[in-house]
Amino acid sequence: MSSRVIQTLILKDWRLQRTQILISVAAGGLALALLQLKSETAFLVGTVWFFVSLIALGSMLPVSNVINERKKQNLPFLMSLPISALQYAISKMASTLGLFLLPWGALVIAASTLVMNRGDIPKGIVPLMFILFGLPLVGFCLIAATALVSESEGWAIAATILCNSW
Amino acid sequence: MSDLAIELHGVGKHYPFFRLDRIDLQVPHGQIMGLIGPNGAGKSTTIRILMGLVQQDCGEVRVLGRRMPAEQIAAKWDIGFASEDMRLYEGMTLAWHMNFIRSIYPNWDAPYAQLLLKRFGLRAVQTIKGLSHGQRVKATLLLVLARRPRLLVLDEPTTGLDPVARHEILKELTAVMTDEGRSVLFSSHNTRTWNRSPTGSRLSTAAASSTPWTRKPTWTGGVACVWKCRPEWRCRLCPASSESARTDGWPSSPPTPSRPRWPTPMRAPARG
Repeated sequence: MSSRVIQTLILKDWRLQRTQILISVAAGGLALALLQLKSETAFLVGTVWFFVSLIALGSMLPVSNVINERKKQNLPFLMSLPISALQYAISKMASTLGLFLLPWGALVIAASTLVMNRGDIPKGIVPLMFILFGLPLVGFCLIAATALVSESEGWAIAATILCNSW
Repeated sequence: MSDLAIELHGVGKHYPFFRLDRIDLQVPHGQIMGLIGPNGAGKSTTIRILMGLVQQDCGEVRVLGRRMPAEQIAAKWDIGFASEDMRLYEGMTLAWHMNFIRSIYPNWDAPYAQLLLKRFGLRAVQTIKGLSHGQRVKATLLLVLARRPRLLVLDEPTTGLDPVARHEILKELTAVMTDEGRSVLFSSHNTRTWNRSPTGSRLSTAAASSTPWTRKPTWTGGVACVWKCRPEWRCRLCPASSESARTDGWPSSPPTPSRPRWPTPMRAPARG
């Protein structure tokens, strides 16, 4: 019964955040499309836009999915349901991770496929890709952990600034 | 199984500038208990402790026979809780919230939910953001009542409502209260509102004080006053009173000999 409630809470978070996810995926997809144009400007814009999409998703998601629920006083409504604080935390961690990893994974796979399908792959591009795609992931993990532990918007913003200043 | 819906034994909670000290409270099944007191008296803290939202520092809490907060999950299946600081998701519709609750609670009564929609004048397709404060309170109560809980816990359910909205909500809660199979615990600082509730002998109230409790109050489903009143003053809540007194409000501090604050003082019967 409790696992069913946790699943319902995770699906609830998906429903609440799906617009943000769709916009991030659409923005990342558009950026990848720009990379296909035979133009240096389009390549630069597309590259920057792609990483901005990933970083924005990783920064905004913990705030909108975790912090806002406390700020907008939705927490008493959820805690009146048959769950414990631990189960709520588990559902929140699972939904936040899933909401980021799926679009991040999709965009990273799409970008990697595009790079690998080029005829002339520069040496060292693969480790560089891992580093560049991994940075938004690490940043997201740090911001999400800060948001889950502190439940404070101030601390989440501080973590966001710290991650983006790397 | 215990005959009591709610049991608190020696419950205490300490905050830097406030403490609940050794609370005993018993609410039998089918009883209606009101916690009445001024702001800061400890009503919401007590309710949060028995809901398992806040862990007590000492004492034992049982709700519907379940220990709290250890067995809060099992208890919450049969509890409907609504508080004044509870908010629904603004961007979602009332229908979404109803479906959300229905997916969790197997006891969800869909026809009753539709009836409440009609009685409260709500539209399921409307987003919560577009509702007024009174409509949001009604929406929250709809979500609570339609799941048919055995125990209803309401923390200041009518605060901030206009008289018409308050009347509509009280009318619906009265229908719930007349169901002797259900227990109700509510908190309020408005005694007049709840005195009108036609629940007969099942309604009992307990007074809470905003001062740190210096003696052990006993709330045993009856009435108790935790203020050290003078013997010649009797309030409506005192079991020794022989007449009912009308209270127009709740004083912010205990009455003092030089400046009595009870609106209608009563004399104790002469001895001898």
